[in-house]
Amino acid sequence: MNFPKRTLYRILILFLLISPLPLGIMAFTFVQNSRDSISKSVLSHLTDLADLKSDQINTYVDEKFTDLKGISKSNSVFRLIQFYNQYPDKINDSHDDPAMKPYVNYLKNFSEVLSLKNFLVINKAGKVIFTAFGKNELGTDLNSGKLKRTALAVAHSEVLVFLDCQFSIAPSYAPTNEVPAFFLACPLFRNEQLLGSVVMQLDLHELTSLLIEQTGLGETGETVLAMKDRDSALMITPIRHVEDAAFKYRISEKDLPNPLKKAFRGEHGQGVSIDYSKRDVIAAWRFIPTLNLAMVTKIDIAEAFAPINRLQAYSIWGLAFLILFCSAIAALFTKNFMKPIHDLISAAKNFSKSQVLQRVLPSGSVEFQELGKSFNQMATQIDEQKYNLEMRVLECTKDLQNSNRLYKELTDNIPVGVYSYKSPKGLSYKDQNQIEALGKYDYVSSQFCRIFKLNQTDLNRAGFTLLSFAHPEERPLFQNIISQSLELAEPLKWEGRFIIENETKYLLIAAKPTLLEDGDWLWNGVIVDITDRKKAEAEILAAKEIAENANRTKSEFLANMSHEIRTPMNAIIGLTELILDTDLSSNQYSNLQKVHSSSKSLLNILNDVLDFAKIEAGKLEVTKSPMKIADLLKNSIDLFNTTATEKGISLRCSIDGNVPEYIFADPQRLSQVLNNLLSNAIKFTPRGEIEVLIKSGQKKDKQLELLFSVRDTGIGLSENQIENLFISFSQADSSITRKYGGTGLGLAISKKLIHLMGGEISVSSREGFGTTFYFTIQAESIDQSRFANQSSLNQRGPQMGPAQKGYTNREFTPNNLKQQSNPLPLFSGHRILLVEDNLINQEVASQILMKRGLHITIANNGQEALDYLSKETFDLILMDLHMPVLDGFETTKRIKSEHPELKTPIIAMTAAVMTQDREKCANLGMVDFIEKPIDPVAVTQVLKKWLIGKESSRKLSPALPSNPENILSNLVFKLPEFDFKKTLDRMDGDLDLLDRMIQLFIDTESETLFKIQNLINQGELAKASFLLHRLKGAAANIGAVKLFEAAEALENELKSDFPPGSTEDFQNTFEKTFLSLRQITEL
Amino acid sequence: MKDFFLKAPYFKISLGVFFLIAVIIILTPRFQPTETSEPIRIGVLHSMTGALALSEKPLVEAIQLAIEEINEKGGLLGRKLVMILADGKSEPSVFASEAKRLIEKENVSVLFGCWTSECRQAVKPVVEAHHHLMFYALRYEGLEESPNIIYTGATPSQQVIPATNWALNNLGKKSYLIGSNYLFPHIVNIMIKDVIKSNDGLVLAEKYFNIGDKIPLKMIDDIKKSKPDVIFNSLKGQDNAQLFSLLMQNNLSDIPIFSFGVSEIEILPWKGNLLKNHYAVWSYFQSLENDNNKAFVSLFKKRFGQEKIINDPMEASYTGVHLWAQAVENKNTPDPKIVNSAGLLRQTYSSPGGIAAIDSITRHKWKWLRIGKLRPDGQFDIITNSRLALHPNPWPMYRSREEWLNLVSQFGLGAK
Repeated sequence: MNFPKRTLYRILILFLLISPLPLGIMAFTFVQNSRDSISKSVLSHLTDLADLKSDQINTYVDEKFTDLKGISKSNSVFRLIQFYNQYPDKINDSHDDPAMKPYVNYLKNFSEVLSLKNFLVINKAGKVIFTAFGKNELGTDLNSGKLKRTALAVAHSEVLVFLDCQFSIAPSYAPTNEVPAFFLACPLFRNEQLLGSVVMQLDLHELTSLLIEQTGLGETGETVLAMKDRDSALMITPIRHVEDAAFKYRISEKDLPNPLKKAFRGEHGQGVSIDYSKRDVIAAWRFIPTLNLAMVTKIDIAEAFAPINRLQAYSIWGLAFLILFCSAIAALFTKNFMKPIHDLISAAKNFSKSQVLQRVLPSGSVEFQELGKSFNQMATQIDEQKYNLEMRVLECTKDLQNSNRLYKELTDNIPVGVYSYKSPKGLSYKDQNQIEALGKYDYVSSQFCRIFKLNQTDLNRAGFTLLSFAHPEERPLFQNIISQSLELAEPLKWEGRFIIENETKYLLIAAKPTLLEDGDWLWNGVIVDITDRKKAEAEILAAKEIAENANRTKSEFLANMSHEIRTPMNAIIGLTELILDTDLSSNQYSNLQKVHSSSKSLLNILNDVLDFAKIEAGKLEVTKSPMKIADLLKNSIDLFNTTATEKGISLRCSIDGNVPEYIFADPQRLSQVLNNLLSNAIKFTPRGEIEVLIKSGQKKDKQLELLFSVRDTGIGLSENQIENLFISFSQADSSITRKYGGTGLGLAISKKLIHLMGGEISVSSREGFGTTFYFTIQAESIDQSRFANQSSLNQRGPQMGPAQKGYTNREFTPNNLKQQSNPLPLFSGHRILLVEDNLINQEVASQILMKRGLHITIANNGQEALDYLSKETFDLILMDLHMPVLDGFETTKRIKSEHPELKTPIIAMTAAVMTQDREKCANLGMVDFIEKPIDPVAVTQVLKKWLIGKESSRKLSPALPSNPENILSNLVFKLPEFDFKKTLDRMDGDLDLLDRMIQLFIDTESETLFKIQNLINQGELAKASFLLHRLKGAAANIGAVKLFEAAEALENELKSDFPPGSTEDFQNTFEKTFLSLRQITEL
Repeated sequence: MKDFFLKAPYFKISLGVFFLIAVIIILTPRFQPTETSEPIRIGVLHSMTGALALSEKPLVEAIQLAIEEINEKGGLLGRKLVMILADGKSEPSVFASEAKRLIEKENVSVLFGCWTSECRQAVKPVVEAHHHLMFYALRYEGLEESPNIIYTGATPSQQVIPATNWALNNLGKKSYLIGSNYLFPHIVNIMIKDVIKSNDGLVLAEKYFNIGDKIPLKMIDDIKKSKPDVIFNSLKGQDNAQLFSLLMQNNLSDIPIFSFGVSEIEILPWKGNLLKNHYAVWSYFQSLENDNNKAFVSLFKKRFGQEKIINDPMEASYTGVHLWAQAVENKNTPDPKIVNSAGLLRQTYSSPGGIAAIDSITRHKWKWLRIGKLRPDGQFDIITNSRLALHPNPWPMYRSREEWLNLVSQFGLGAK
């Protein structure tokens, strides 16, 4: 039966526990207790028996002694003694003597009655005078005769000494054929006189028969009586295991069995021991002092304990039977009782084996049937649940597979390596060997493998760690970062170089350490190959550099452009003004006037474009310096007053009372905005008035908002126009452009500038009813006293005296302003040092300045300027910043260091109007600057600022401006590449013709160099020679002698047989010539 | 159901319970408490003060030793023995009252005590009245029996009579009798004279002195003149010293003396060659050679001091305690009424002096006859001894009890 044995065993043990075990224990205890009590009862029985036996012996002996004592007092004995004393010789006949017969008979009778072996009477001397039976001893002297030292003799002699009864036992006694003898003796007194002794010889069988009677001792019980005879113990009684032992069987003292030994020692006791036949016995040992004997009463243990042994055997058999019975019952019970359970178990086992739930047939008791039914129900339910579960598992598996597939696709296909790495507890990232030995990758995505060019199988080979791939230079840092991340348990991010199969890759690693329950760390992380991005970044960086370079070039280009364009503009405007001052026909004047205004317009447009370019480049910067608002307003009014007056428009302005007098702002930009608005207003206002208002807005500490409004009564703006108003390059209407001109940049620039100054611009207008522009700026109010002594500010406006301070409205009307306006103020002979390397610039500047009554000294470079300064004094120095040898900055520095006492203001002249240049100038001690190309109005204002009110150092008469024709003529004679004198001579001194000729030459020959070089390079030497020849002629015509020579030299070279040499000399000469010619034509 | 059978906790618990029950069943009979653990009280009545203290104190030590031996082996019936010591102060009346007190107040189970016959006779009625039990360890004049006293000392028939016989036969027939003037010497001398008479000897003189009286030099002169073969000396205590000094002073140190009141303890000052022919008769001498005695002597000396000397009464006291203990064991109770029975009289004990046994009729102990001659070291050489222990008979056979009692009564002494 494959039913679990365990259950059977358990039930069996339970059964055994219930009945046989306690029964067995009880039986065992009962047997033990019985054994004890039987032992006790046997012992007690033995003790009683032993005591009884010893008492019997004592009683026996005592009785005999009493009899003996009695007989000793009898007359018979006394008579015998008397008879012997009377007839010592008749001793043998005494028994037969008739006189003695009654006494003898009495004694014999006495002896028979007492069953004595013998009875003797011995006199004091030791002679045996009477024997009851036999005559062996009769007449013998015990002290000397044949019976000397026999037991009889001993008993007799002791009795005489002790005067009391005594006994003696002899194992062998001669007179009775050497059989054992037992004597009792008693002293014989008569009237306190010791007469001798009487002795009984007892029948030992009498004594031993007492003992042989084994009352209540069972089969093996016996009483052993032994006497000490010399060195051994002699058995007196017969004993069971030794035949004929009485008085024959001896045991030497050392071999004595324990009970006997103890008895001989005089001990009184009982217990379990071993007897003379080496049997286990229960024994009682006694010493019998009366006879000086040892007695042992004993019974074999086997017999004593027989009942208990039987009981034990029965118990064991009974117990064995009970165990067998119980086992059988248990087995039967288990089999029947557990069968239904067994069926259930088999079904359940089958289920676990085959996953098929069998149904069982309900059987057994009601409960088991219930169980079986329940099991079947349960099986059905399980089947259903199993089905449901399987379906769910299928779904879940599907989901899981999907999820896994998704996950795998995700991790495999995203260009990011995903990994999960486990670093064991306590692992130190300080030691790389340790990391390699202990760390383990749990998961890596295929992208991870692709990045590291690995197979999945390579992954867990020893030593693979991210760290081991790190670029050696970066490895310690990376290691540090990992350690740090572990310590703080914070995510790790690392971007660095890794060397994978000798190829450097940039990898981005982002991972997070998680502390697991067992103390290990789990890193989940991603790795991105950012090599391409890094490369792209590098390229972008390079591109950016290039772009920045280009931008810088553009800025420089713009700066140069401004310089290059303004220089000729300067010349045009300057020279035009000079000519306008000469006597001209009205027609000429009118034309020239147009030229002048057109030039001015062009310059403005240029400036606008330049400003706009700067704004676009972010190069336009706003500086802040102290300024007076009234001055700002006045300057603007001055500028437009003439125009307004001409158009018949009234120009008004007012400053609100609470506007501070002095502020920190950028005066130049502010006036630029204001001027732009004013010029617009004037431009679009045919009649009526223009009003400028300045108000104070919000104020916080020193921060101040200033509110400007420019109102006109002009044509106004439509709503459409207002929308596009502030957009670059747009005007309100294209028709406006045609009608009024302009670049359309003004308002866009103004808006940007206002933004830069922290403000806003807005407009309100109604078509046909005028326009009002409002704008604000952020400014800082200034404590006036700070500037009280500063001349430049104090002296600016004469009407700005202390009386006019306060919060009254200060009105300036154009008329009012006009009084101070002085169109061509004449300076009174002040001396100016002009430091300028460019000949044309020298000429223009000196013409303008001389025209204003100033004396000009020209220094061609910085060094010359220093030389002049050491010899002469000047009232003002105009310093060009860009010069060969010593530039303006360096020169100024040298001037300041070589002439520290010099107070002469130095004013910079530059086409580069960058803020940093201005700051540099200010730092070097230059007080102001003039933009190139030189605007006569601007120059005049600056000069006024620095020279008016100042006495000239030397009283010179105002210089008179020279004839403008002189400029060209002076110029042409100074140019080294030319011989204009001959040419002019040829042209009868007609400069205009010369000018035209030069212009023509430039137009026709400017491309010639390029053509000649190309032809030479192509080997077309004849054609080149032709062109050279033509160039040679043209150059000779206009007096360009150097070019003529260079062309001739190259032409000759080309014609020679030698291969053509360098065209470098020719090229240089050509370019120089053309540069000069262009300058000339620009004048 | 299956669960119930198979569930380990149930199974283990039931298993445990069964084993617990089994253990209890097995062990129960072994832990039955003894009925009482109170000690058994042993009354010891000896003079710790007074004239007899010197002689009696060693007996207390002997009893104490026996008690300690028994206690060391686990006591008696599982109970300890304690000694309740009462001082008889050498006065019979004190002995009697103390005996009463011990029995009535101290609830002792047995008495060991008394030295002189006067004391014993004073205590005897008390013990008998209470049906109590007393062990008397001294050699005495006999002629007495009591159902409540065990006499472990020798009777005259066990010592005095055979010793006199021996002296007369070995030393000579002319004897000189000296004794203190009290019961024992008078009785003993009657018996000695009986023996002398039956041996045809000669009594040169019979002198008695009151205890503490000065022995007159006249007597010494008499001894000198009469030249006795043997002096039978039954002087008591310090009077012996007087006699011995006088004998020595008068150059009689080698005259044979048989002293009946002198043991190893009393003779100690006269050791060496002071007395050259001094004899004593006892059942026990310290010099006795057997295994029991060797152990006993060494045990006693170890317990009470190497200088200690052991004599016959001490051995008798010691043995008495053991005999009593055996009887208690036999009867399983210390109750004297039960102990004092045939069972007690049947007891034998392997004592230092040989087998100790009580005669069931006379309640006296079987005793050996041992005659010792003084050695220079104060011990005795045993020069002769009896073949067997001698049957105790307090009434020498040559007179009837009546005759003896009449004889004693003429001294105005003796048992009533």
